[in-house]
Amino acid sequence: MTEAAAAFEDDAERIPDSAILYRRVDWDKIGGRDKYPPGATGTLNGNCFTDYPEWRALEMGLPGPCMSVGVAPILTGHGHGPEKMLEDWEGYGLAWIRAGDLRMLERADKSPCPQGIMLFPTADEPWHGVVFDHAERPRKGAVCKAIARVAGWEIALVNE
Amino acid sequence: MAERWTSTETSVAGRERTGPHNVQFRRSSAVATSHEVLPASGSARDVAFVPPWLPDVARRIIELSRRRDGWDSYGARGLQEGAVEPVIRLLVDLGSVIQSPPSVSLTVDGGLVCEWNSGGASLEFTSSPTGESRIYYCEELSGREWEGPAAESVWLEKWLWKASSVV
Repeated sequence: MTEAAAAFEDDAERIPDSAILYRRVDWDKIGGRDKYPPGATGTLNGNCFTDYPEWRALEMGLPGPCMSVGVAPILTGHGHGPEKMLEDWEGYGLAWIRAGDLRMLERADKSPCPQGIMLFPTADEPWHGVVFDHAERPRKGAVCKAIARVAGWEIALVNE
Repeated sequence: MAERWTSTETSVAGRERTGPHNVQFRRSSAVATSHEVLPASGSARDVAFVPPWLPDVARRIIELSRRRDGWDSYGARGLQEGAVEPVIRLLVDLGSVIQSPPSVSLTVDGGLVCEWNSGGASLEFTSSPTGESRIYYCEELSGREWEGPAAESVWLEKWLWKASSVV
């Protein structure tokens, strides 16, 4: 059973700026497989980095809307590589984001929209963490798009 | 100054202009004075313009409606009925200014997001399960952004046209 978190608190000690975070991506978040020609790699978009709706976050014991991620250093500490994140999710891709890029995130117009990151381990995923917007929750579309700009594929979705 | 569409409004381009069937989306008079050449679009309710790719988009939405709760591995909801109508209405009402089909995806709360990206500009139209719709528009070079309710977007036609241009 996951312990509820009373408040969001950025954990720069256990999740340093150099830490890589992973997030699963499904074809239906990026327009569907058929949108891409054979052999093409899917394009990450803002829809890949949206928050849980508030009801869902509260149900999980989180203080409010936020986004689930896997924290690579913790995952590695348990002896796993990034592919572990997709173990039960065949056909999904895995995006990476650097923690420091989230903390110093800027919108397209260069205005800051810093994100916080904290661990929120679950029984199934001790490496589970959440990313939250310091200013506005749930995170707005412009900020989701800003995350997409600094994210990349660890395990890409390719229309094969 | 922005004005709302009405069914009696006449356009400068004449009868061949086609347009929305309701007054949900705003139109800016600034568009008419822009130096950019925009396609005719407007108000002739009796001359409906159906984009040729609309059936494909409808098929895509039907395909998405088959996804069950939890489809994204993070507990996302399946498609909620209330999110469909605003998307169809946008595509039918403003189809004459949309130059390419949208990329259609599901959102975590069971809504839909239509996305266009021309390289120079991108636009996301998100409809929620309650039928509310929002716009996020960005011009990549200048970094100019706008985000808010679709009904308040006076530049929607122009932005749709720019973001959906084929590169």
